[in-house]
Amino acid sequence: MTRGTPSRPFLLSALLTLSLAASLAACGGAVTGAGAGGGAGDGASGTPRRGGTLVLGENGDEPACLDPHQLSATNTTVVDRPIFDSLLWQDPAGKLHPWLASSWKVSPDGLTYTFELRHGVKFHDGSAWNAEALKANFEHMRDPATKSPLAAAYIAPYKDAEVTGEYTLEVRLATPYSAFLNVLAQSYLGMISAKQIKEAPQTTCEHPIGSGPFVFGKWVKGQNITYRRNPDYTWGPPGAAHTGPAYLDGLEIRFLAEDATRYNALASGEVNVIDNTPPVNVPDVKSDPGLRFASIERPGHPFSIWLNTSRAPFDDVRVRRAITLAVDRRAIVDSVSFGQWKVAGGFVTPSTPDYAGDPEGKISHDEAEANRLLDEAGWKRGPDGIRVKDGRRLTAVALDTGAVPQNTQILVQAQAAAAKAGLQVKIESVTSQVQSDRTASGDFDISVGIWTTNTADVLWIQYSSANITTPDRRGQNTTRLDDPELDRLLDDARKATDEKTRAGLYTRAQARLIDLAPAIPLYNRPSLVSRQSTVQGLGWDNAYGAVNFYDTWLDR
Amino acid sequence: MKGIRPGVWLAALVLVLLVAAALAPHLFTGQDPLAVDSARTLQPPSAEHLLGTDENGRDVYSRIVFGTRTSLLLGFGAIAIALVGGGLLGVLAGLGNRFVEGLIMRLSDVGLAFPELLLALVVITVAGGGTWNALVAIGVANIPNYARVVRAQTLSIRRSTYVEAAHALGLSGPRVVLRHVLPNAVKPVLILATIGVGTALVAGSALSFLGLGTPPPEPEWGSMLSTARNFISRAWWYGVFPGAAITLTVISVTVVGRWLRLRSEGRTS
Repeated sequence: MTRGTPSRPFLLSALLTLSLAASLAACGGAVTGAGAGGGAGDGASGTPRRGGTLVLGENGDEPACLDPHQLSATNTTVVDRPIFDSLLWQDPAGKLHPWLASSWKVSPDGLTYTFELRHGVKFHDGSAWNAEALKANFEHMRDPATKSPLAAAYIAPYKDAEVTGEYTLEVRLATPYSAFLNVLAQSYLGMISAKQIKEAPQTTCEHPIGSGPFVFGKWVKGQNITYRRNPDYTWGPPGAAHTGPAYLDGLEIRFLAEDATRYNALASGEVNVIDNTPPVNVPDVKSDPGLRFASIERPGHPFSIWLNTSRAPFDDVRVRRAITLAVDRRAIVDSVSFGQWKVAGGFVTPSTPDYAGDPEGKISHDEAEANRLLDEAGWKRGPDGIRVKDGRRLTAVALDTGAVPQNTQILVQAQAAAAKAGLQVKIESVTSQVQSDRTASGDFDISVGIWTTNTADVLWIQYSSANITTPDRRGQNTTRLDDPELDRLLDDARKATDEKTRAGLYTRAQARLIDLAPAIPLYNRPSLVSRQSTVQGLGWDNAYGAVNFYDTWLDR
Repeated sequence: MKGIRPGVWLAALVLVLLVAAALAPHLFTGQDPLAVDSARTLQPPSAEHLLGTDENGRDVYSRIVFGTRTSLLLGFGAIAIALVGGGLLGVLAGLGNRFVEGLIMRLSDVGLAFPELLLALVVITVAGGGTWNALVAIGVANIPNYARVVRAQTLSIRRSTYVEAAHALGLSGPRVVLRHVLPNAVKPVLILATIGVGTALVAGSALSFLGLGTPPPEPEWGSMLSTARNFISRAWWYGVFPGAAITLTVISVTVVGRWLRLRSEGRTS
């Protein structure tokens, strides 16, 4: 043999064993090597100091572009909030406050919004924030050339706007839209320099210019994004702990895709903060005197198992209800998240306005009822335990990319629960492109997903028959649910101009969804943020439930 | 069999057990390797779960036992492909004219320039993942190795007196190749291949580790190791035992292969 001397296999196996030993050693470091002792308490203590660069370890879900209007990526708020301010600020209780808008008025018919804008705000390129700039942003969001996957949908009822004064914009909607002000508080609708939108719209992706507390520095794709402080910043959000420029000189967001790598980077002191703390490591963080842990629950639709209601077997509501009851959601969520995620209480999360939950406890774990429903639907147990009807076996195809280990775990455990009830689930490993295409075209039975937004209008996005994907338009109604009664409730809630009416309609819509069972709501996804104890004043963007560094400082 | 070191006996015993586990895993465990239990995830080794449970509450021991078949299949199957492919090309190069020999050998030089795992990754990128594709990928990547050795053997046998004698006796060309050249050229390569099995097994595990080999939920040692690395701070048993299974198998295959080689060379260990 010219290659592969007898020692070669030894070498290779030794390498595998070594890498194992290395990760063991790295984990051992978590206990002792976490740097400065635990002198500092939780939250902001002592006098904030200026200076230093904070490094955040983020997961591998790197946005393809930094223009917030062009994004639907989960990490948009984390990477874009430092650069971009919004018109409104949402407080932890869900109430909206003035930010780049100093006040606003809504006409009684809910069709005209008049925004008075804050004076003295400047974008990073020196251009001024005014009514023209706000109008340019609305037009940019809905411009087909922007190909906005989210912002455009969030302002879909926007018709036109009229500049009635340097700092006054009158916005007209085609239909009343109760979620309009809420979505304006999200980073996806952050305000971009109007000068850049007009003069160089092709640069908004790679060189974003906003008015935020940090100025975009450099983006090395697949690696990191760096920011530096905006020294002119005096328009921090109303909920902030301080005014004026940010304390940090700079910020670096480093993409560390591997869960273990990200956690070890924090434990070894290589990064100051990590987002998406692997649930398995949360107890390690909590028991480490040099580390601190904090979390915030995200509003919107809980992480769920989508069931394709447009084809057999899930076109039968009894089969959908049966699998919902067959799955022990608590056992799955607890085991996958090591107790770090809360089991979903309904079709929106409790941190969403107009949350109604599941007052009758219909989304419970009840195997007997699951079996009864399947019997009633005509599916009889076959010799191998899998049910059969008219010679057809009760099977369903689940799509999984394998990219998120927790999602695979959820599917594997749900698969076992379904098999017990007589439903055979086949998990197909596919690429994310194939998964995206097949969920859009309806060529699947089971898929998983989540939609985070700060209004119950998420139900219209996910379940209105208007949002079923057609050849012309990509909609977000993954389950392809088409229920006239639900459509009417969601449309009416959307157009309601009165808060009470809206809340009543959303309560009925949530109850209707529990009966229709188009999805199995699993857990309310939190942002799990871990930091070294020297990091003080960590804040949140409440409209999305993501970490915010405006008030943050390093206690060195 | 006097004079055989106990280590070789031990390695042979391990191999026998592994082959038995691959053929009849049910004899070694009463538990279903796919049985999920959400309430008992990442449990440490106990009487009920000898090597603990994994992130879905499945029994690690029975997953290792049931994973033996796939892992051995990857090792032996890949080398079988390399042996057949490399053997044919090698004999062809050894007996063919200058042009055929040049073509085969230059191609094999190009193949040898790349590490096996890299070649396997290229094959998988084109053909897609999965156990069988991984097997073929590793096998194909190993062909140049074997082609080269078989060619060298063929060249020396071709000029040996017994082959000349066979020709002189008037035997036909193909008959000489099939009856005399091929068996003698392949014999030493077979012994070397036992060592190659170890390399191929590790390569197969590496591919599964990267998520390109056996897809979940089927048990395979490399993919178990891959998932286990996320839970290593909580569940050492989950990563250590599949890793130990790979290491033990490769060492056993190599020890036995090495003994066979020394024996064939007329030396004793």
